[in-house]
Amino acid sequence: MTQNLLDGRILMGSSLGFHIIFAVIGMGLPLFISLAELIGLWRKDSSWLTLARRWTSAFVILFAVGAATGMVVGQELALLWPRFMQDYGPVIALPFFIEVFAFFIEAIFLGIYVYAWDRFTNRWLHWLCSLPIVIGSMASGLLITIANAFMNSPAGFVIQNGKVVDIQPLAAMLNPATPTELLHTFMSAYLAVAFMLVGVTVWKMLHGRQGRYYQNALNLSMVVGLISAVGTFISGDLSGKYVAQYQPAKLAAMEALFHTQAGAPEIVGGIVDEKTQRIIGGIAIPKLLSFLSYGDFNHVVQGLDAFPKDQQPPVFIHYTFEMMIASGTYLLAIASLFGLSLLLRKQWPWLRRVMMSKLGMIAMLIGGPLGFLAIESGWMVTEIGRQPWIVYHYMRVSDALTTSPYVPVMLWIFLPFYAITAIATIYLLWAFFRRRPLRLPVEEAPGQPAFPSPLETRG
Amino acid sequence: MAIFAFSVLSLFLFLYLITAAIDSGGGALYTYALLVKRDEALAETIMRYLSPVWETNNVFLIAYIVGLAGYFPQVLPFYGAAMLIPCGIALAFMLIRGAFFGYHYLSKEQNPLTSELAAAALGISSLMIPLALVPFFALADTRLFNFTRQTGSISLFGLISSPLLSALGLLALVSIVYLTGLFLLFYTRKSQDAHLLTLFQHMARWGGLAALLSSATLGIALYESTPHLAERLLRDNWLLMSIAALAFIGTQMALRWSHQHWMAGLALLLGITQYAVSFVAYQRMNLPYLVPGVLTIDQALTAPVMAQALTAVLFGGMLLLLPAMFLLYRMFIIAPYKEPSAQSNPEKAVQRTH
Repeated sequence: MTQNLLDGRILMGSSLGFHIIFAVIGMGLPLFISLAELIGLWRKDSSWLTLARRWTSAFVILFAVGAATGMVVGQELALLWPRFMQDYGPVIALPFFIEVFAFFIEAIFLGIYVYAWDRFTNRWLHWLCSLPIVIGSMASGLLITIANAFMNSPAGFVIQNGKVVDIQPLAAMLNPATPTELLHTFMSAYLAVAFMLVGVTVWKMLHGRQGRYYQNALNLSMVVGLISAVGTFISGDLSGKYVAQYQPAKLAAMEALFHTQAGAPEIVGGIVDEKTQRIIGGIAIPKLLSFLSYGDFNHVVQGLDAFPKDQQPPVFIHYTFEMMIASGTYLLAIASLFGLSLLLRKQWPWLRRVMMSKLGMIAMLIGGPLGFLAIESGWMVTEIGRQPWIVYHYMRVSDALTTSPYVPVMLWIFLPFYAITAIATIYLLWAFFRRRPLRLPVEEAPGQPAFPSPLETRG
Repeated sequence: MAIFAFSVLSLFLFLYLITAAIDSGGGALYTYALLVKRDEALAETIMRYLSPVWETNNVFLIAYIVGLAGYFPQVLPFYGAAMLIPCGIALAFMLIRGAFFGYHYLSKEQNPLTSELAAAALGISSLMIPLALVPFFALADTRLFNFTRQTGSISLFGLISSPLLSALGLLALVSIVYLTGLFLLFYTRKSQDAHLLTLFQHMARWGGLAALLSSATLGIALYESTPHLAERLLRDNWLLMSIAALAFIGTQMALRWSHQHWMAGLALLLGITQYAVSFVAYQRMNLPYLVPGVLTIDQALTAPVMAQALTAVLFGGMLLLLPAMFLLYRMFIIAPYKEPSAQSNPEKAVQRTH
C-alpha cells in the first residue's frame, strides 16, 4: 500500500469517524425531544417541556457542527476518490440529492421549532413542527446509509467494455445490503443517543441533582434505549446473515475464521494470531457461527483461506466486531435491568434501589460512551471489512484514489482541525449549560411519587 | 437537459448568494454594532433575523454542491482539486460561525471577554466565507487557475495578484453592504426606530453606488484577464445588463420613498432583480464551459436516466420545500414583530434580567 493510499484512508476514516458522532446525534435526538414535548403537553406537565427545551438547545449546537463536518466529508469524498465519483456517481447520486431536501426540511422546521416556541396559540401545532425534524433527520441519515449499502452490495448497473452502463438509479438504491443496513443504523442511532442522554442525566444525579425532572429524563431515555437495544440486536443478527450471504470475506475477517469449515464455532474473546492462523484462548461455542450465519448448525462457513490474499480484509476487525457486540450486550443488559426495576418496582423494590444506587448509576453512566464506541467499532467492521474494495468486487480503493500529491497535507490540516472542533464543541456545550442552570417553572408538588413511571397515567 | 440542470443549479447558487450576502452583512454588522457602536438595539434586531434562518440559508449551498455532483459528476475532480484551499477556508469559517450561533445565548455579563471574542469571531467569519468562495467565479482566469485534462489547481500567487479576483472581492463586499442595507430596511420597515432606518438607508444608497462602481471595475478586470469572456458579455448579454442598470435606478428611486412600507419591499425586490439579471448574464457568459477550456456542460452531464431521476426528485422536493420555506420566511421575516423576544423564550427572559 502506498503512503498516499494509507494517508487517504486515514483521512477518510478519521473524517467519517468524527462526523458519525454528530450524524448519529442528529438522527436520534429529535425523537427524544418530540417525545418529551408530547408527554409534557399530554400531561400538562411543564417540567417535561423544559426537558424538551434544554435538549433542543444541545441539539442546535450539535446540529450546526454536524452540518459543517458533513460538508467536509462530502468534499473529501470528491477530492480523495475522484474515480469512484466519476464512474459510480451517475449510479448512486440519487440518495445524496434526496438527502438535500430532507436536510432542508429539517433545517426549516428546526428554525421554526426553536424560535417560535410560544408563537402558536395551540401548542400542539408547535409539537407538530417537531415531526418533520424527527422524520427529516432520520431520513437524511438513512439516505446516506443507502449510498454506503451500494458500496457494499452494488446493484443497478452493468459493466460493458470496462464502462458502467444500463444504470437503474432505484435498483442501485434498493440493493441487497440496504434493508439490513437501514434497520441496524436506525436502531443503533436511537440506542446510542438514548444512552448518551442516560449518561448526561445520571452524571447530574451523581452530582447531587434530584427530582422529577431528572427521573423523567432517565426513564424516557431508558425506555427508548431498551426498545432500540432489542431492535439493534435483531437487526444486528439480520446484518450478520446478510454478510454471510453477500460478503463472506467480511464475515471471515470479522469472525477471524481462518479456515473454511462446516459447523463453524463462534469464539468469544481470545487473541488473533495471524502467524499460526488461529485464535489463541477465548471461549469456543461449537457450531454457533454456522447457525447464526445460515440457520443451519452444520453449514459450511468460508474462512479467510477461501479468498485470495489480496482480497482478504484485515483480520483485526475481529476485535472491533467484538467490541461492538460487547458494548451492545452491556447496554441491553443495563436497559433490561432498568426496565425491570421500573415495571416491578412494587414487587422488587430492592432492584429499584440497586439501579438508583451509586453503583447502579455508575453502571448506567458507563453506557453513555459505550453506545458511541459500539457505533464506531461497528462502522470499522463494515468499512474496513470491505477492503480492498470501494465498490465491492467492482472497484478497489487503490484504483479510486486521487493522483494529487496533496493528500498528506490535507491529513495534517484536517486532523488537528477535528481535534480543535471536538474540544470547542465540548466546551461550548459545557459553557452553555453551566450558564443556564435548570430553573423549573413549577415547583415540585409534595406527595408526588419519587420515581413515577413514564407509562403511568396521571389523573 | 444540460441547460435545464445548469439553470436549476444556478438558481440554487443565486439563492445562496443573496441569502448568504445578507447573512454575512448581518453578521458583520452585528459585530460592528456590539463592539464598535455599542448599539444593542441594532444587534438584537440582526440576531432576531439571523437566528432562525441562517442554517436554512446554508442548505442552498449544499443543494448547489450536491446538485452539481449529481448532474455533472465529471466536474468533481476539477472543482474539487482547484477549490480545495478556498473551500477549506470557507468550511473552517462556517464551522466557527456555526459554533458562535450556538454560543450566542451566553450571558454577556458572565465573561465579557469571551462573548466579545465570540462576537468578533462571528463578524470575521461572516465576511470571510463569501470572500473565500469568490474564486469560484474566476475559474476562467488563467493567472489563478490551471485546468488540465485530468484535474485543476489554484495558484496561491494568483490569489493575491489576480485583478479579476480583487474586482470580484470588492464587488462581493460592497454588494453585501448594499443587499444587507436593503434587506434590513425592509425587515425593520414597521419599526419606529428612526436611527436604524436611516442607517439602513445609507447602507443601501452608498452600497448601491459602490456596487455600481465596482461592477464597472469588474468589467475592466474581466476585459483585462479574460477578454474573450468580456466580449461575450457585451455582445450577447447587453440587454440583460441594461435591465440590471434599470433595476438599479428603480431601487434607488424606491429608496427615496422607503418610508412607505411597501416601497421598502419594492426596493429590496428590485435590488435582488438587479443581481439576478447580472448573475444570469455572468453565467451565460461562461457557457458552455463548466471547466474553462476543458469540459462543457454536455460533456459533464451524468447518465440521462440519472438526470431524469434527479429532476423527478427535484420537482417532488420543491413541492415539499416551497411551502415550508414560505412558512419559515413568513413567520420570521415578513412578520417579525408579532411577539417580542422576551416573551417567546422565558428561559432567555430569565437570562435577560441582569
